[in-house]
Amino acid sequence: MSSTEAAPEGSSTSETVVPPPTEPPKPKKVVVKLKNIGDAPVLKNKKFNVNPTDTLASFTAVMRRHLKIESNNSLFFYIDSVFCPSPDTTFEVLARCYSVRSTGDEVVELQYSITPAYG
Amino acid sequence: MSDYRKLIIERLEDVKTRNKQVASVYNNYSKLAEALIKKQKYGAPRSGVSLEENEELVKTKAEMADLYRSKCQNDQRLINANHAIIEYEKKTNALIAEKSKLEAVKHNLAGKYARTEVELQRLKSDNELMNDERIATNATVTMMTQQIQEMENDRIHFLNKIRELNATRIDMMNAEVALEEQRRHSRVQDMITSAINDVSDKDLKLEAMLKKMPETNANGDLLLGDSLPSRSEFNFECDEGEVNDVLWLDGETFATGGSDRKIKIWKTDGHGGQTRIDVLAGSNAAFTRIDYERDRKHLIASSNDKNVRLWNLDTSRLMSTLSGHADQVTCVKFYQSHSAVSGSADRVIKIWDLQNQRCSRSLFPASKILDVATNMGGSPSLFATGHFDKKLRFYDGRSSDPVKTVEMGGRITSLDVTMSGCELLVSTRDDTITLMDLRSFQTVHCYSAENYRTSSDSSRVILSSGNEYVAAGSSNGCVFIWNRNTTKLEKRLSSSSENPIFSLSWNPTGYGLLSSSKQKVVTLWK
Amino acid sequence: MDYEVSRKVWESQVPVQFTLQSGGTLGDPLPYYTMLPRFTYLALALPKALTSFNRREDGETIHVEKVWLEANGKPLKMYIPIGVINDQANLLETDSILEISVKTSTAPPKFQMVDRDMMEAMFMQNIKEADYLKTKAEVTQSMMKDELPQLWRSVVNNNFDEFWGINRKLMETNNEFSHVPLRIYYKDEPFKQALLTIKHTDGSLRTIGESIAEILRLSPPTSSESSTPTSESSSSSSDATPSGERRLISHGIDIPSHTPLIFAAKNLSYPDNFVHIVISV
Repeated sequence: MSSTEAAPEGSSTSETVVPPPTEPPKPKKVVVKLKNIGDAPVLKNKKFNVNPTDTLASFTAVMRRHLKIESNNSLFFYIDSVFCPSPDTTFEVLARCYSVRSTGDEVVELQYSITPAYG
Repeated sequence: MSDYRKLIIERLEDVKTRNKQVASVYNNYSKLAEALIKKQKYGAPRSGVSLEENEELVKTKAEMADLYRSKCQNDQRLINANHAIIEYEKKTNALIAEKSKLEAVKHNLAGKYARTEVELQRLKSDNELMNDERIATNATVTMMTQQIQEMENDRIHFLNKIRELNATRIDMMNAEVALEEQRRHSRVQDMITSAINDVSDKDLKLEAMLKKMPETNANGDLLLGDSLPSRSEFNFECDEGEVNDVLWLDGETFATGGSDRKIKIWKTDGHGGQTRIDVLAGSNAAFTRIDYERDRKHLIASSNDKNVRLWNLDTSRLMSTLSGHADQVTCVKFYQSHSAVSGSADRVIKIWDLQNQRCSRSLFPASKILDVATNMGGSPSLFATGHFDKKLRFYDGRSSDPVKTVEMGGRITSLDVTMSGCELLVSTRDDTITLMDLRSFQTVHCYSAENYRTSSDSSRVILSSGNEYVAAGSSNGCVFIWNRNTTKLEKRLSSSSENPIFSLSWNPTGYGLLSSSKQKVVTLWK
Repeated sequence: MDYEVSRKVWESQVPVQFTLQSGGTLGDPLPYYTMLPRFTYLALALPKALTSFNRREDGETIHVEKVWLEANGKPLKMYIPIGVINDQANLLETDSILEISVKTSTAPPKFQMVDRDMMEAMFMQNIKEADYLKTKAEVTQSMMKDELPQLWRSVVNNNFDEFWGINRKLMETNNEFSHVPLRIYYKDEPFKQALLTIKHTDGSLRTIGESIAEILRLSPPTSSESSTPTSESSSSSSDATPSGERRLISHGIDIPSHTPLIFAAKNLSYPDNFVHIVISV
């Protein structure tokens, strides 16, 4: 009971409708908003819908192709311009722990850079 | 402590113990592996080796292994020792760094101390210097003070001398007047003797005059009501030029003053003639205004030579010359007991103490004064001044700022106060005459006429002796007379000449109006 | 900080076996056995193992960038603390050795080689993330420039005192932790994580068991046996040692499920400031 209140952001996304305890939950896509920093190429479309089971590592691989970044160059993603999450972090975890509310939807905002940023 | 902590510690301990066994196996294994590698490297395997050799080899290898083991241990010790040395060196370096830092700080402090010392020395010497200067300045100040004292003494001395000289001069002047008087007297004596022969004709005239006398006011001081003049009784040339002011002294005598630098005293003879009975000289420029105090028989007059003069008419003696104005004195009036107020083109009003013949007060209204009025109702110390800047200022005499200022329509040429002292007649350069209530400072009446033009900046407008009429002289030589209460123009007296009229005076008996013009002439209207 | 527990956690070790499968002409070299601290990383241990393999006189020299690592038939994540790898690999057979195969064949795409410098960077990012959860990154942002690298150096040099000299700042903060950095590992799935406060709304301390039940409730495992009702697991607040029940493993031991979350956060966390717990059913 108290534990639901302890993680309000997480609970509010998954349980807006009637909670189905036995039914396998249909994975709701995570909305990701990207913002470039430094010399990183700018994206035309800054919003992505990502499977919650995807990890940051697999997303990085996709984005590398998307941004046409060569394999010898790096690509970093930052949360709140503070830290780089671990490559194994799933988007479910990102959404639960670091999403921000913008215009009603919960959005994971990531900053991307081709050079290490933020010390 | 809660049991979870105990459990965790126990379990960690447990794992550690188990790991210890594994660790020892690993240790041994690594040694063996090392030995094996060594063997592969140095003891290259040879074929066809005898068993003994093999045994020997095994023995040697075991020895070797022992040696290696001890070497290993020694190496470890060496490494440890090296580590320790490095640690100590680090510490030493840190200490050295610390020491050098402290030394730098010390050096800094020493430098600061030295600088402070120097600064202190400098300040001390500065202080001394300042002190010396202060003493010197004090001495100078004392000296200066003494000098000032001496100069003050000198000044007083000179002032006294000036006063003495003034008195001498007045005496001289009076002596001269007396001499003149004597001379005139003898001349009159001559004339009388010559006239005795021709009496008959004159007796008639005298008789007529005597007949007339009871009708008029014999004393001349008694007012029988104002009579509206209708004709010119006589006129005569009394001056060489402008007659700036004319003033009845009593019912029969009047004074004129103007550009011939003399005040003349005349007496009407009742036959349409006049006799000059006195001449008051002493001025170096034209007289502007005359005022008379009948009780003391003192006459005061302002002059363009920047002075105000006071005579005693009993003795015809000049009593004092009041100097102090920096420009032409335009007006003067007796004020309170034994004082006078004068106004000047130098924009200063001066109040004179006539007893001590000195200026008791100066006021600075910042505008030329054209006329002054005293004897106002309410406060005896109140007086009014009319100014070139169209302002009428009321002073209390005690304060240096006007108690009231009234803005008029033009330059104020003349002021006259009613007998009651409650109303003030103001003539302004915009050809208007205003009667103002002195309690409310509100206009009561305005007087004007079609051809009436104010003749000059100092042209005088008067009230009749009984205050029934207002009289003014125009620039075309006419005298205009209005009824005071109805403001109706009662009379317009035109003279033969068209010279502007400067001043008027109504006979205290109410019968007879004097006017003075720009060109020599004084006219008596009856 | 509980010195005794922290010290024991720090000193806890893992026996590791490295085997090289090079396919070279001389056959594979002897395996390399070593005891590794649980907090260290494969990125730090691998060069030593390779040195051991390369000591053969005529063997080919194996370079770090040419190899990839495998355990239990799966590519290894070099950026996870060795203790966590061990807990994951040895769920059932306790006391067994962590067997790591060093391979020279073409690395599978899932494997990521992490060298020492990269590891240092990732380590610091982990600390920042943990601090972000605990204090919104207040502590790390107020730290001096050299303090994070020094944390890393004390991990590399196995210097407990130096490490805690700085780690104390991260643990003994002015305000209570807003959330506890806790990651749970279930089978081969990527770790799970949630925003967990140290206390319930009624002020009582949240326990590890409750925390994990909460995470699993929010994000049930995708595997088939996850259909166990969550209510049952959350009620099992008693000690979780009996087999068959959910076991919470960290540092090679079962963590009592009633351990308060804050105690775990301060004393059972790895140097990266995260509490890593492997779940076995």
